[in-house]
Amino acid sequence: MADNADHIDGDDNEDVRAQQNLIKIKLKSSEGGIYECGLTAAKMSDLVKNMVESLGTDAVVTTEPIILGNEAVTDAALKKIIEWVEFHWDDPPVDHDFEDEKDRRNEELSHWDKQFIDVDDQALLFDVIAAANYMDIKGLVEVGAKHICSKIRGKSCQEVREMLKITNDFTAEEEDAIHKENAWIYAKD
Amino acid sequence: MNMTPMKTSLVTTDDGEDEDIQQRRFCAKNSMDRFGDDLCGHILSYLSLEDRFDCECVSKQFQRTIFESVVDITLHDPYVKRSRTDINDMQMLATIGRKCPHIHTIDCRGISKRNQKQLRKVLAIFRDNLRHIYCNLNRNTDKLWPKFGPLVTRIGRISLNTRQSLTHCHRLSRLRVHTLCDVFGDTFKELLVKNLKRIEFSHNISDTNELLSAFVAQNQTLRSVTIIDHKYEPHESWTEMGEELSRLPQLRDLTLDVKLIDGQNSLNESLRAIGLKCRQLKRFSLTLGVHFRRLNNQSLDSLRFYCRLKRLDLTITAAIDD
Repeated sequence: MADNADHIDGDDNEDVRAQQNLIKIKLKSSEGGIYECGLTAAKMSDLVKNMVESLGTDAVVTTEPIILGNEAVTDAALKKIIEWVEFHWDDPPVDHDFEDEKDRRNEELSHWDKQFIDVDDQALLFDVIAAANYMDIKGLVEVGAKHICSKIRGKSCQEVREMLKITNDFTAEEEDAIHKENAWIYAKD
Repeated sequence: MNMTPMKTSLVTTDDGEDEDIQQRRFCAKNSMDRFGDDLCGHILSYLSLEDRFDCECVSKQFQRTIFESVVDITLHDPYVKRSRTDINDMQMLATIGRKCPHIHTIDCRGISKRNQKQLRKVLAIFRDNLRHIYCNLNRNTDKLWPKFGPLVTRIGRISLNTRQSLTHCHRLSRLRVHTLCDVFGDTFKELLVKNLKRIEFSHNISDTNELLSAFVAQNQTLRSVTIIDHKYEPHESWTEMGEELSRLPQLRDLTLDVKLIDGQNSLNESLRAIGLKCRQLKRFSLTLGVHFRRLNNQSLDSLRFYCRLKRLDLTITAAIDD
């Protein structure tokens, strides 16, 4: 019974969500740029969602921009993030009867997401991921994480460091010790 | 090995705000070093277990965070080439157990009977946090289940004369068996599994529908049922089966592989009962083989009662009369 009720709510929700996305709200980056975004799309960010809901009426929401103070939310990053939520806001909701968490994690990114996240400027890529993390947009953080992991796979530690500009803070002895502990990995190649 | 965080690792502290500011001062914008431990660990959680060991020595932050999110491990036979989680390599498994303290699920369904002898030692390594064991029942593992049975939540196969171990597996949720007889005690009076979520079995004429009836009554929680028919069975047996399955109110997912021979064509009635009564059903996969006889065009009429379906997979190998 309860599930049936949910189902009906779900259908109603779709219309409400589409209607609400016609309402445009303003988001302000840490660099001061102000950008418009559909309300439903913007609410994919749990941070924005909570801010909007604490403000109450929609009237206030549409006039005053919501300030995203974290340094990672640059103009360029915010533009990317709005592009992503405007594409994904009407994704079908997760069906818990079938979507296994593990399956979802292992699923490949869609073609659109792959192209979206394949950003040449690594500083911007990391801004987008850190900003999505700050704004609490779980789906987008996942896209960033899968992208980085796909680039890590098959590379040596040194190659990973070079690619992601990571400082090696191990001494040579420490590194040797880890290699020894994990020798079984190399033995089976 | 020294796993203690070093003085330089400001990122490890829990006071988020201060740490972020410190962090940004030291790190270039295009360096992954700018991320705090939480975000770094989350990103690395999409790597496979093997990839994580490959990357452990990238940096101390990687070392600290890369194993945090490992919660499950799938074991393999030693001769599976591409896999490194070989069940016979206890030293390796001990290393994994030490570095990945949050492993709560072990899947050993892919391991052959012979190698399952090692399971006792493996479980000893991971036992402290273990919550789920996915396994097969066979003679080599019989003695484990009085103790570890309550952790078993999925079973992939039950070998001859081992089904009595099921009585130790109170939390069993998913089960695959050859025939439904496997879930009953030797006298067929005692049902050994209750409150399952998922079952997969082969339909067999020797399973009387009484067994199915008793099974359905005690497993009203079933959400997913898969029945494979290996032989051509009379229609009547499917009619009764349809009736029984329609008594599962929680059913979400049904897969039927049906092979039909001559006889009264009653498939439509069997399907109608399920469609009418299983109101939660969202996915239905029907594979239909009809031998020596043509399927008449009303046979699948009752699919119109499945109006809540979100997915229907239909495979028919028969001619349909006009």
